[in-house]
Amino acid sequence: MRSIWQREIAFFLAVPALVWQVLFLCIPIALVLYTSLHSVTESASWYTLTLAHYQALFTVNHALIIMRSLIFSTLTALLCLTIGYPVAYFIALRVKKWRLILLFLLTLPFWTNFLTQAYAWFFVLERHGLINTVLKMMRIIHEPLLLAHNNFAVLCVMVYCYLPFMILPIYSVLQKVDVHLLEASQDLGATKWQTFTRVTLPLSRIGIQTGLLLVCIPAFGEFVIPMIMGGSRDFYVGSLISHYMLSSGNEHLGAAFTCLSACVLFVVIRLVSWYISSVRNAAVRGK
Amino acid sequence: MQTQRVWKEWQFPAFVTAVYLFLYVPVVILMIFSFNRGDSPTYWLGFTTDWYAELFSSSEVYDALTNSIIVAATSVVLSIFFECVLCFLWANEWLRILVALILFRVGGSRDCYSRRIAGYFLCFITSPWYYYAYSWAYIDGFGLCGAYYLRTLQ
Repeated sequence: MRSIWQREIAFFLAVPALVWQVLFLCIPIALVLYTSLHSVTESASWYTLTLAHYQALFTVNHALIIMRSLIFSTLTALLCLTIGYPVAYFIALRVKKWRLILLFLLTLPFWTNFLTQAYAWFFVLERHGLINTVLKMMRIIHEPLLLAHNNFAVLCVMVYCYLPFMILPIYSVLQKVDVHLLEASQDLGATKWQTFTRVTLPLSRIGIQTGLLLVCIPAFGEFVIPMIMGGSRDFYVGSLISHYMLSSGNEHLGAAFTCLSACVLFVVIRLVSWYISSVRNAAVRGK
Repeated sequence: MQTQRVWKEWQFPAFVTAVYLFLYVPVVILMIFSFNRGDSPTYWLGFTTDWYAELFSSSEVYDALTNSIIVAATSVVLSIFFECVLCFLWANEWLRILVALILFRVGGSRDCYSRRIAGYFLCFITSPWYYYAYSWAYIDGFGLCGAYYLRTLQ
């Protein structure tokens, strides 16, 4: 009979990670929740809980900010998918010798600091930046386009920064696809488009799903890019939370908004994945 | 049919090249403008290496570099350690089920558990990471350092 140390060695090895998780994830999250519920009145003791902070959040402006962040993260994810899928497909299935070099080149710009990348976009988008200069030289425009300090710039930089998070999961799934399946599909008379929609796309579903989540969720809470590129005209979820926490010192409201926006995001993702799986189940049953 | 195929063969690498240009143009322009004589980011006023001379003569740069290296090295070591032991745990079927049961108190088919644990880790990314640092700053001044560790762990 083996001793308990031998039998449960995996568990004992995992204890430090679990302790770390509890200390640095569970406790802070509980603190956020507690702060969002804690009353700020004079007579309040530490256990006086209230929903007043949430009540203060039920305004049109807060709903608009959450909607804006949702729309922007969805747009970013969809743009990343349309740009990233062909690239992942190309690297995984069309090239052999250049594969590693292309993957390396894909991650190379992201060795520089995230802030540097965001600032680099000013050189491209500003009044006298690259795009305006080139368009002027080609005599397409006469007045410089206003590209920086607006939502277009935010979207541009978000797509730029999150593109690898979309390409890499799709690549890792497509790379494992058996090429013989695609050849068989074409041998059996399918056109290229049919092969793509009936074979390649379903096989890469998991990669697309992972990529969409990896882009959508951080893009929803993003606060650096809107702060730098947006000209601080419109608030997003992340920038409003950092405003509450750091500038106005209203951590109760900030905590309540953090919890609320996290709940909204969770519900939206659950609803979308439930809808997709129900559609998929219906399609499978239909066949 | 044949012409369409030829056109597509030409189009696909062109698209990929365009995406790579999209990735590289801002960074390359930034590098070029680091040699610009003026301090304006938009006008080219001539070549200079003054900025680099100034960079290497300032002590703040070395302090920042030291801090970054310390934080990066410790997060790499700690996250590799924790991830190794976590992988070890997940490799053990029964412990995975146990963790899933503790966390979710639900049954289901076996492949569901790993997906649920993945969801459990994913849901932590949904709230802005710096908030953890902020709440920890109350307690022991652990500050941003903890948040960097945390972000690497996720």
